[in-house]
Amino acid sequence: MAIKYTFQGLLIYLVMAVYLSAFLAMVLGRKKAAGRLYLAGFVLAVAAFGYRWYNVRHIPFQNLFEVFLSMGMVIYPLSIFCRRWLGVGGEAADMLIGTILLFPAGFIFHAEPQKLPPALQSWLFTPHVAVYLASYVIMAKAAVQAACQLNGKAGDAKANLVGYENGTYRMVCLGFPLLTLGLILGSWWGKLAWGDYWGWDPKELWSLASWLVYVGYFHFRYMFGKKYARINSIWAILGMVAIVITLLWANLSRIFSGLHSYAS
Amino acid sequence: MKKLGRSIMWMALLAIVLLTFLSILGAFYGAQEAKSFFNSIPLRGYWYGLAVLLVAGFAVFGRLLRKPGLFMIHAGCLLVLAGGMWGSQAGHQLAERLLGTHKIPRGYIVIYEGQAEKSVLAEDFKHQLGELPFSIKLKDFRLEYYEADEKSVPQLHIETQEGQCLQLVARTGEQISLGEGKGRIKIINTFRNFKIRLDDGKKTVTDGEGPAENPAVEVEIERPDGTGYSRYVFERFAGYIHSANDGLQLSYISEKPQQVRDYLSDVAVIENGKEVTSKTIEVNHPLYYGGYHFYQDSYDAKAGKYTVLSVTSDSGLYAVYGGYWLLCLGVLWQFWFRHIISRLKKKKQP
Repeated sequence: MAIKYTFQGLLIYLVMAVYLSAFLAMVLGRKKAAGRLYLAGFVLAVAAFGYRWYNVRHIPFQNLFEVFLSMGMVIYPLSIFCRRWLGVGGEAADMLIGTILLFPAGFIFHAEPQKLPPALQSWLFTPHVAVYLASYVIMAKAAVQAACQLNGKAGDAKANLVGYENGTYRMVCLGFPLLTLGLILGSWWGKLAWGDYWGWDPKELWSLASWLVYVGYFHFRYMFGKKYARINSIWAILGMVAIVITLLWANLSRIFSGLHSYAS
Repeated sequence: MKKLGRSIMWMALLAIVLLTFLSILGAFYGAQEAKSFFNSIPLRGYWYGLAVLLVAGFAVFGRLLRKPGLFMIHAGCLLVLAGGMWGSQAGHQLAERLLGTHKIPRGYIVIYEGQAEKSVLAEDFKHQLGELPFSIKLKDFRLEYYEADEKSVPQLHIETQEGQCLQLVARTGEQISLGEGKGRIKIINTFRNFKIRLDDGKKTVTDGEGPAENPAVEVEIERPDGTGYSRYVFERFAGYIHSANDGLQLSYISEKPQQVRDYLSDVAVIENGKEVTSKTIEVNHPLYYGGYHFYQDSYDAKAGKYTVLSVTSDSGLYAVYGGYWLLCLGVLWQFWFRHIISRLKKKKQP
């Protein structure tokens, strides 16, 4: 763990501080101030992302530092979209998710610019990583909704929001097509770069396992509806656990060395 | 029928959970072993079972046929499974037995510059798997590099007896402390091309002209008592140890090695003695000809005289791609588009 004494680092810490302030303002009931701070955090996150892009001369999706930096930017538009279009709340949790997502970028992963190796010089690089990182943030929000449901919390009906079980389902419905696209685009890219659309690589298998957990969620929910709401929520949380392992453990652990090792 | 439907749903759920666990287990095996594991006889049974389950789902659940999204998702999965089976080693053997077609599922081809090659080798590069009905001629193989990083500075890496790692910019006059009471290291001189000249029996160190063949740095190590001695550190002879037994491990990097931007093989396909097509194969840009894809896999790292291409048959590939399209369209329709359309319709209603 190390502090980054760079302009890039400063931007990341500022975003974290502003997101955290927004969260505290939300908890204290200052919703308007929280909303403004959240927007300011997003603007700073865009600046951090743009600065990184300018520095490395390619879209910053290459390694875990850049992936976490990008995910910290996605959370704000996702919160707004979910409230307005899907009736799913949880902005306070989103602000906290934003801070947590930026923590590894700020303190754990090194930010030394890297040139793209030949395999990453493909037009599929951007859409493959973009859909995956968006789906991961969406599924994180789904897991928070599921955790609230497990805690027995009731949804905010006054604010025209759906209940937590429904909120989880809507979030998973939003994220699942992106997760599927990520898997398929990755497979297609693997065929172009390495000659196999499926290489049985540990990262590929963990990605498949994550996808299958959500496939299981949909089948279980189709079979039983909301009869076993708690089990539905557990499926969604297990999906998020599989995603965390896919993103971190599969990339960083020596147990899972493979073709995706440059992602670390 | 309702009972049958329920049983199929339970079996589907069981199959999903089982495949999830198998995928996790396979991740611990590593790619090579996982591939063998998922192609083993018990797992082949699983894949057939899954395909049967999907077909049974279509037969029992009318919903899967009526709802376009659900139909595309499940038909897509079935196509991917069928394409995967068709393209596997067992699929190739079955096609040979039933249809008399002979295709090599996967192998490698090693081609020297200026020569044409048609024999496909196994992964060990010793056993021949067969011959292609055409030859691939390598016209040229080359590497492209990124431009050298301007920010790259020569560096001296120091590891002390206690395991402490230090870095020093290797420019004349730069110095670093080895810790309190442990002395310091100072850069005395740097050499692009370190040479020793003998003048009247006397050894003189010089920096030779020409390309940087022997980069080195001369350092002065100052002991805590004020006395000192010098050492030479050679970039290309990292194991060279000077007579001084100071417990310091020093290594010198004059500039960061240039990073490869691309590997390129200019090839031509020769069939019946004629060149029928040509292409520059590079990573992400394979050559497709005669039912095979050719990929840049490896090269002669020492002399750059040959290239290694991996060869893959296209059997079952288009079924898999078709399945991917169906699956993508299916999930997008089922989870996004139909909701957007119904919302727009609701808005239009007065």
